[in-house]
Amino acid sequence: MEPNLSPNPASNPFAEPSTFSSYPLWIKGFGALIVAAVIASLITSFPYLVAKRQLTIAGRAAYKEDYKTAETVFSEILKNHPQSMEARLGYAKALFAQHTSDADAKALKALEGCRIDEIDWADLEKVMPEEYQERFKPVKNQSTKSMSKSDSTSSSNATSTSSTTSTSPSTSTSQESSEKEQNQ
Amino acid sequence: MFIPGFLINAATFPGVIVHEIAHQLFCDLAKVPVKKVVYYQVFAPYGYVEHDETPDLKSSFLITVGPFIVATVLCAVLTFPLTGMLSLKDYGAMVSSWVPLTCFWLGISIGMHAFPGKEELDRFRKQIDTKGSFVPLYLLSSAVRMFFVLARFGSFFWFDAIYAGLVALIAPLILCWSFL
Repeated sequence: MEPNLSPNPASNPFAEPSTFSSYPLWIKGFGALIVAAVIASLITSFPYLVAKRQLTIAGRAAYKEDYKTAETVFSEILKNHPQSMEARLGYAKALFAQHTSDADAKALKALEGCRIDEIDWADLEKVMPEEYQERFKPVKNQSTKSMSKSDSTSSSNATSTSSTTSTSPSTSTSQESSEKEQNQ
Repeated sequence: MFIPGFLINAATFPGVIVHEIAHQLFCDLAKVPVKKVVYYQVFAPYGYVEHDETPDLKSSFLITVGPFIVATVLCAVLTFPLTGMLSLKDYGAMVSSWVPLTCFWLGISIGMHAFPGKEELDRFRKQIDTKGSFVPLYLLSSAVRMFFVLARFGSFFWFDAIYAGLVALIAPLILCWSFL
């Protein structure tokens, strides 16, 4: 792993010797890998930087009670980052705050399959109508709450025309437990 | 928790190599001839650069502080994708893609080896003690050296890892603030 640092005899004896030491080939390759990783990192980071900016804009709009703008910006974030819990919760809060049945149905659909921790739940509880809160069940041995697929489907059927539902893999535990409870 | 140093260095070997490359590069920039470089070896010293005496405090400052800055910047950039995903709570994307995880490991490895070694600090102290230095540079060098000495002492308590973690957490926040 030691490079040959012996001075290279200069072709011109009057030339000033170079102060730059030599770098072995594998070090140049390693350096190229690091540069590639930096480029990959910057490319990967950029959408998150944009999303973070949009989150701030949406958060500010929600703070000013401009829930329509907040909803639009959150939905834009969700187009690129559909699994982002931060965006889903913000979107749901903006919708619940509009106090319409259509918006409530959309919000419940957005929360479908989410595992919500205590801090986020405390925030969500403030804007979520009480009748929907009962649909969220505590997840065993964890300080999280989640809503089962069947609950959100029934709510969307009851309140709006929307009927298609999707579930994220993270809800499997809570779904199974809620299905068992329903069977019992 | 005690983990043998060679195991930590084996797990974070890219950091050792990057530190030595940066050290060699800054020696070249300061026009200090390099005698020998060991980029990585399994047992201590894990990597080192042997070079001639530095002619002045400016060169010594460059050679000691340069690799630290390079490692800190690389740590911040490479850990950004994963911290970005964390800030959005996009856990699904974190697990599904290997690029952010690999970059995070590289970033933390490099950040953990940001601080200069004992020999580098000894050489730096010699230059600081030499009279006739430019006063602001002398004061800055003394403060930086004190920080490095404390960091070296703190490495017994995982300060190097804590530093890498802090850079990974704080740098994206600074970037977001400046971007917003």
